[in-house]
Order: sequence, then structure tokens, then C-alpha cells
Amino acid sequence: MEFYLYTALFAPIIGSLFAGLFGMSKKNIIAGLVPTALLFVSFLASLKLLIYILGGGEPIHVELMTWMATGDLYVPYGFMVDQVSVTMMMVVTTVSTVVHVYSIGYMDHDKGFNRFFSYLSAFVFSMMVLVMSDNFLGLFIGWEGVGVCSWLLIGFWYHKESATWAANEAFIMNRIADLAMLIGIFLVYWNTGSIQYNEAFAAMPTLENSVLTTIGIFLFIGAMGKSAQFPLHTWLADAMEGPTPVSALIHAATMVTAGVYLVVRAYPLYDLIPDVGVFIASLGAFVAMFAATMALVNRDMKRIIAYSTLSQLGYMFVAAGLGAYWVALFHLMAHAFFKALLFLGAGNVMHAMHDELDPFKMGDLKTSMKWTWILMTLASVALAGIYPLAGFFSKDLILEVAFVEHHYILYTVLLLTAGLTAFYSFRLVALIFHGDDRHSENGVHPHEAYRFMLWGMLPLGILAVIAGMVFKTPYFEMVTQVLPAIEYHIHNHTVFWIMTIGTQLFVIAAIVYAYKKYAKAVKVDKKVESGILYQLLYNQYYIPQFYEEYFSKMYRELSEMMWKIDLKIVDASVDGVANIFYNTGIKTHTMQNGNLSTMLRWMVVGTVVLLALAAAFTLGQSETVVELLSELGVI
Amino acid sequence: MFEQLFLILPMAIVVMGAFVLLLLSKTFSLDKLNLVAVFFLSLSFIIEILRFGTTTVCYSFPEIFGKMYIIDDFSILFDLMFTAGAILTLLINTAYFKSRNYYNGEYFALILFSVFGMMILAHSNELVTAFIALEIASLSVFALVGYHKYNKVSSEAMMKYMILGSMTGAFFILGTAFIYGAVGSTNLEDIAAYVNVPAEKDLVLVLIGGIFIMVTILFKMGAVPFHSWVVDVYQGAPFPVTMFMASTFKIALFAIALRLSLIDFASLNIVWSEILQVITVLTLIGGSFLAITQKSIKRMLAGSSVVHSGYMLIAYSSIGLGSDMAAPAIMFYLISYFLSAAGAFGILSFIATGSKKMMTYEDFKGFSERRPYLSAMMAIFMLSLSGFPSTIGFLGKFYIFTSAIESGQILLAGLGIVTAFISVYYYFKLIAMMYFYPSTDQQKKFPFDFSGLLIGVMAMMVIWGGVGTSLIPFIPGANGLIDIAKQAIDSLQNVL
Repeated sequence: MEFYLYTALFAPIIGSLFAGLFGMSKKNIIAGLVPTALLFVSFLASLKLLIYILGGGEPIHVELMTWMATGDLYVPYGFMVDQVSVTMMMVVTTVSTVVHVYSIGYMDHDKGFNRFFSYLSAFVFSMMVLVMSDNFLGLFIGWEGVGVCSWLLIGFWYHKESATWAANEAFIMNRIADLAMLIGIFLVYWNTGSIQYNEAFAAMPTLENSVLTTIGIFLFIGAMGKSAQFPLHTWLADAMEGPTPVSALIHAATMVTAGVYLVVRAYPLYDLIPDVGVFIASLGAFVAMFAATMALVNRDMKRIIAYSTLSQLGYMFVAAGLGAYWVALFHLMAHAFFKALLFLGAGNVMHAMHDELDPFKMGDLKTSMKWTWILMTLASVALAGIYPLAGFFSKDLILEVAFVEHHYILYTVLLLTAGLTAFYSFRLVALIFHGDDRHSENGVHPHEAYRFMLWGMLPLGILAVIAGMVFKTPYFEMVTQVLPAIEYHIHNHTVFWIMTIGTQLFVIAAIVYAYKKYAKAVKVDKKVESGILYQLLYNQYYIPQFYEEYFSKMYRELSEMMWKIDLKIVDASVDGVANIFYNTGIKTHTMQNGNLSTMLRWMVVGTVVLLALAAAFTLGQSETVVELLSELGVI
Repeated sequence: MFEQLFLILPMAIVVMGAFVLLLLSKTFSLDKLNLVAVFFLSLSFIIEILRFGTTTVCYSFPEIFGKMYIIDDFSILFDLMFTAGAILTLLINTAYFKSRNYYNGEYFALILFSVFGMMILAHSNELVTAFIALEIASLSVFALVGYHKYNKVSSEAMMKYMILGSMTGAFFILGTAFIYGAVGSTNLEDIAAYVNVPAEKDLVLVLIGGIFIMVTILFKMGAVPFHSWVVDVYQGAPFPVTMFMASTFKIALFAIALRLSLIDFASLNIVWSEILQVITVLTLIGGSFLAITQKSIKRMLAGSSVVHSGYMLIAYSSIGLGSDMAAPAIMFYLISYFLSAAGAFGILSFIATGSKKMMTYEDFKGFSERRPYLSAMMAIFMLSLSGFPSTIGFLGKFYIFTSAIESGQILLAGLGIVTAFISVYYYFKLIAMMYFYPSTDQQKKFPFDFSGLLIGVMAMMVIWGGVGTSLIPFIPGANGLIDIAKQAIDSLQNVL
């Protein structure tokens, strides 16, 4: 089985290096096909591991080597495949294989085709390191790796200034969070003496609560950065500047869920500190609602989906925070499938519309893009959580968790958010595919994407339909061998049915309303749009402006001030030192800057100083001198 | 007899190679001479690599030379680095010496002679032998520095280096004389026996002698205040020679320095440590200023090599304060510095082949567009030199600082970390120049060549040494390298 582990882990990096070989040359289809094939191999290896684990196999643990062993520091370099990591591996390899296939078509006309695949496969490798590591350090390496790859991919079209800016924003926001995470890891090491998951978690129950809380908070700040939780959320929407397959893979299905994975992985820690858990859940519920409201009015197709991702991540954190780790992981999986599908569909639309992102300028695409329409509708139904698609099983479960755990406020918030989710999803579908044709006047004649891209998307479509229904029971049985096996059931049948049917009706009502409002001719309601609420939502609660005003601007002013200081003081002193070095040269007009006799003088001075030092130290230790000095009363 | 000969075979091969090269120098073309030189060096390298870890400590021709000439894993590891350094210098610069008209056949013989000298230095167990070895190596390097004899910069550099070097050579022999005066022998083990037996002996003479020897070592390392030659000489020398000096010759001195402090002066180490601490502080700060102020990359690397000496001095002074980690840390750092510096200078001289420019920061603007692979490798070497995690340079610094903390020199470790941060400035400036500025020249087609491949392999090793595992047999990763370093140091300490 170790062979499959290595295959799953290393196949993507081989693909990346292979594509990298073509980095600077012209577009070469081989550079796309080989990484894709290797990813498929990685997928098959993961599948084999999944079957093995499902069949009751023991978790696989390999220790490649001792990475560092100095004094008390012992860091082995190991990977493991257990029930949790195999779930993540399946999600990562499935979505990334689909995205690779899709990208061959999507990046068809792009100059950086080869480079793109090199980055994309490198990302998958980092993500695999992240999920397969058996210790915090490996996790952190993968964590940084996905950060770097994400930076490269968001800024892929680096000639676009907005793309570079977004890439840097994402990178910097994540560095802030990573610093906290690194502190958290150090704290784990100092307090437990190990950074291996099993050893560190085993040592944790003996620690003081305050220490655990600190560790939990710092690690969670790291998770907040990667998973774009408030207040570090702004980068995710801006990251949509990257190519759409990147958004599907990184900013919907894999990297942004790393934060959730971290909390799930560290469940023994968070189980010990339920207060922090409640905080995580509350923040998650807040973000779910907060992001959903921003998605309501946005006019940028990809940003709407990005906010939706943010909102769903909030759901996952609610589940994880309340101790329902397996539910969080389950929603992570289901969400990865339908959200990636939604993004890829959006990519098709973008291509057809010549990179137009405003759904108000589309309309009636269902005739020309039938399959994209079907797939995106399917994804939206799954996202909205209609029975029997994936979202129903995972998302409604989170609502039940909140209810069973008696967090009724969270429950209400999440319920309302479910309605909002349905509304904005179908607002988008209605605006793009239904209603009147608003794009012909701009001279756009949409066409369906390549056939193989649609075929490539099909697995995600199937998974979006069946993931909840088919996978729930086996998944539960598998993953609860590691995670706490708590079944969340409302025992009162009447309450259960009222809730389930009530939620379904509420969601369907939201969908119907969205269709009613947007599927016909769109009337722009000036009165609503100029309202305070609309403006607030449209401007993302003015948070980007707030950051600009209070952080960026201040920082810029500080930088300018520092720059002046730098000019005046640092430069002057550096120049001064340089001048000392240069002066001798200038005076003597030699070819170079050093004067030989000065050098000789330095040497002699050095030797004399050393001899003097030696004399001083030996004399200081010599007993006669000490006696002499003490007699004189010096010491 | 043959057994004894076999022990010295690697050195014999090198020196024979040097003579063969001298004989052939007028008949063969430079290309062929280069190959001959590489052949002899590789032969020596292969024998040494097979021997590493298998021999017990022994002496060559003990009935004739006594215990002058020692063979242990420690010296073999150094031999490996010297020969590897020379091979890399020769192979990477194949294009360089063809593009310059001042090269002739003796160049290769000189390199082999200096390697021979360094090897003897690593093996010498006696001060006079060490002195002769040092002079053989130095004289060859003097000649190499001034190889471009029509260039005033090169000649001036040679002149300065030779005068200063001769003076320090004189210091070395003076120090030896003092020690002989006290001990009555120049054999390291006799000295150790003399020093380590506490009696009412007067150690002042030994100490003074030790100081003079130390001055020589510090001079060759380029420690402040004996650093003044470094920048000028590195700049004046032709690129391949700078590469050879910075990566290989610099290391040679640590062979004798470590042997001295681990065996010879072990009981005097307390005194050494305090002196070395002063020197270390000066070196770290002085070297950083030197490196920051430079505009030319060659001078910057020269300045920064002073800082790297400072890091090694941190561990060097930790040896005396009872840190077990310190000596392996220096060995590891030597390997890491050897790889990174040889790579960086190698790229520099590789680029310099095609141009007569100074190689300033400005010249590197947009380099990533012109030579994407080379600039990626240069970035790797810069990252490693600055001690960025996941490169071998990081682990090197990590071990050094660990040893400093282990021996209680917290402040010194702190200063080291500060200077490491400062070094990020001048190393990353180059990366920024390469990647964040548009290219001024048009992109040219560049051919695939062997030198580039070698540099690529070194870049891989820099990464592999930082994150590597024992996954690939025969290529030591991060862990294997520190084991090798420990093994070498152990062989040194087993003597006593």
C-alpha cells in the first residue's frame, strides 16, 4: 500500500516538473496532457487507498526519514493515510483531475499554457503534502506551498495590474495568518514536545486550559487566513482575477477548505476547548450570513460564486466548531464537487461571453449553451440543498447539528442563510440563462464549450447529484473510526419532519422568487438600488474601503515616512561607512579601493589586539594576578 | 609498502596530474588539458569517496615521517570537497577560459598544485607540514589570482594578496617556532599532550604561538580585522579563480583550524573562545556592512563571504564552550557554503564568459526573462546563502545557532540571526533585480550546455540538502549530510 501512497503523492509533482520543462517554449499540448494523465494516476492511487481503508484496512503510516534531529528536536518526515486524509485526497484528486482536463480546453488560446499546468500540478502536490502529512510541520510546508502556488496562479495574467494586486493581497493576508499558525505550531511543540499529530494530541489533555486555548486560537487564526474567514476574507473575492479553473480548484474545492481540514484534524485539541469551538461556530455562522448577503446584489458572476464559497465555508466552521467534525468534512466534500462544477460552468459562460462577468449583460443563454445550463442548474440545486442532491444531505445536517446542540440562534441564522443561498444561486442562473437576450446588442455570439470539457465536467455533475445520497452512510462509518461518532438526530419525529419539509419549502420559495424576479425581462429598480441597504451590500459592507483607509493608507504613510528616514539616516550612515571604505582608494588613486599599507597596518593592529586580549584573559585567570589584585583591593 | 602508498594515492594522483599537465601544456589544446585535469581530479575523488568511512585512523609511512601525515574520515571529507570544488571550477568554466586570451596550459597545473597543497593541509598532523602545505596551496593561488597579467586590477590584487599572504605565512612559522620552543615538538599530538596535562608548565609561549597561527587562519578566512584583502582580491581575480577561492580555498583553512582546536588546544579553548567571540562580532558586523555597500555582485559575494566566516566562527567559539553540536555544525556549514557559493560564483563566471561587464546589480535587471533557468538557480543559491528554509543554507545556520545556544552564547546567536536578516537585503536585491524588472536586452536563444547542467545539479543538491530524505540512495540528503559531518568529527576525536 505504501507504493500507492507514494504514487498518489508524487505523481503530481512529476507532472509539474514535466510541464515546467516546457515553461518558456510555445504552447505544447503534451505539457497539458502528461500532468493530467499523471493526476489521473494519482486519483487512481487514492481510490485504491480509499478502497483499502473502506475495507477496514489499518491507516498507513510511512516515515520517510528523520528530518531534523538535534538535541531535543526530533522531526520525522512522515506521511499517513487515514480515514480523514483519504477523504481529502479523494476530493483533491477528483476535482483536480477534472480541472486539469477542463483547463486543456479553457487555456487553449493562452500563451502561458505550459506554465499554467506546471503551476497547477505543483499546487496539487502541495495540497497533497498538506493533507497527507502526519505532523504539523509537514502540514505547514504544504500550507505555504499552496499559498505560493495560489499566488502564482491568481497572478497568472501578471500583465493585468489587478491580477498582480489580487495575488499580492491574497499572499500578504495569508502571511499574516500563517505567522499566527506558526506561533501555534511552536506552542504545540514547546508544550507537548512533539509536532507529530498523535503524540502532540496525546499529550494535550494534561496541559492547562489556558495554554490549550492559546494554541487553539493561534491555529484557528491560521485557518481563518486560508479559509478566508472574517476579517481576513477580502482576498478571496479579489482572487477571482485568476483563470477560472484556478478558482474552481483552489478557491472553491481545495485550498480554502484547508482551514476546515486543520480544525477537523486538530479535533482532539478543539474538543478540549469547547469555548473556542463555540466562537468558531459563531464566527462561521456570521460569515455564512455576511457573505450570502454580499452575494445577493453583486454584479460579478465569479464574485457571486466566491461569496457563496465563503458562506459555505462558514457552514463548515459551524459544524466543526460545534464538534460535528465528520459533518464539516462531509459538507467540505459535497461542496467541493458542486462548487467546482459551478465555477467551471461559469468559466464556460465567460468564454462564450468574451470575458464578460456581469450577468445583467447576458440572459437567454440556455438556447446556445444547453449543457452548461443543465450542469450549472444542477450545481445550483445541489448548493441550495434540495432533496435528493448532495447539498441537502450535508447542509441540512449542519442545521440539525445546530438544532440538536441547542444553538438556536445559530440555527436561525443558518436557516435564513439557506434561503439567501437559494436566492442568489438562482438569481445568477436566471440572469445568465433565462430572460431576454441582453448580449446580442454587445455583439457577442455565444457558443458552447468544447465537447471534451463538458464530458470532463460530467463526473462532478454526477457527484453533485449522488454524493449525499450514496456516500453518506459508508462515509460516516469510515470516518468516524477516527473522528467522534456523534449522530445528530432530532428524536421527535414531528419536529424532524416539520423542520425538514419547512426548510425545503423555504428554499424552494426562495428559488421561485428568484426566478420570478429575474427570469423575465429585468427591470432595474432604481429605488431599491439607491437604498442604503443595497449600497451597503453592493460595496461589501465598505470593508475593502475600510482596510484601504485605515490600514493600507496608514501603512503607505508609514512607509513614506520610513523611506524618508531611510534616505536621511540609514542611507547617510551606509554611505558614510561606504565612504570610509572608499576614501583610502580615492585619495591614493589606485585602481582599487584598498591601500596595501593600510591593509598591512590593519593586520598588525589585529594581531596586537589578539595578543593583548590573550594576555588579558590569561592574566585574568592566573591565580597570582588574582591574588595580587585582591590584595590591592581591586577585586 | 604498497599499502602505505595506497594511503597517499589520492594526493599522489593529484600531484602527478599536475606534472603531467605541465609536460603537456605546450602540446595539448586547452580543452584537452582541461579534460586531463578533470580526469586526475576525478580519479582522486573516486578513490576518496570509496575510502570514506571505511578506513580507521592511520598514518602514512610512520617509520619515515613519524606521525606527520594522518589519514582519517575528517581529512577525507575535506579532500572530497577540494577535489569536487576543483572539478566544478574546471568544468563550469570551460567556456570562460576559451573566451579569454590570457589562459594557457599552466593554469590547470596550478589548480592541481593548489588542490594538492590543500589536501596535504587537511592531512597534516604536524605544524611544519601544515605550513609547507599551506604555502604550496597559497603560492599556486597567488599565481592564479594574477593570471590576467595584462590587467592591472588582477596584478594589483595578486600583489596585495601575495604580500599579505606572505606576512601571514611568516606569522604561521613564527607561531610554530614559539610552540616548538615550549613543547619541543611540532607534532599535534605531542602539543596536545603537553597542553592537556595540567602541571606547572608555562603555557604563555604556546598561547602566543597559537595566536600567531590563529592570525593566519583568520586571515585566510577573511575575518575582521584581517579581511581588508577579501573584496579587492576577489574582484581582481578572474571569475573562475574567484569561484575556486571562495568555494574551495576558503574551506581549506578550516581543516587545520578544526584539527587544532579539537585536539591540540582543547584545554586552552576557554581562552580561545573569548578572543573568538570578539572576532566573531567584528566579522559579522563588518562583513555585513561590506556586503551592503557593494554594487557589483562579485564584490557583494566577496563581502558576504566574510559574513559567512563569521557564522562559522560562532560555532568555532562554541567548540571551546562544550557544545557537541559545534564541530559537526561547522562541517555541515562548510558543505552548505561550498555548494551555494560555488554555485553562485559559477553562474557569475558562466555569465561573464559572454561579456566584459562588471556584473553589477543593474546588469541583472530582467535576467529571468533572458535566462529563466539560470536565474532560477541563482535565486536558489541566493536563498540558500541567506539561509532561507528548505535550502541547505537554512539547516547550516540552524545547526550553527543551535550550537551557539547550546554553549550559552545566546547573544552571539542573536547577532547571527540579525546579520542573517541583514543578508536577506543584499541577496534578495539580486532576486528582485532578476525578477521584477523588465529586460533591457532582447531574449536570445541559448544553447543547452554542460556547464549549465552542472550548475543545475548543484542547485538540486542545495534543495535536496535542505529537505532531502534518504529516499534516493547514494545522494545524501539533509540528514545524511549531518551524519557525514558527525562521522568526520568523530574520526578526529578518536585520536585521543
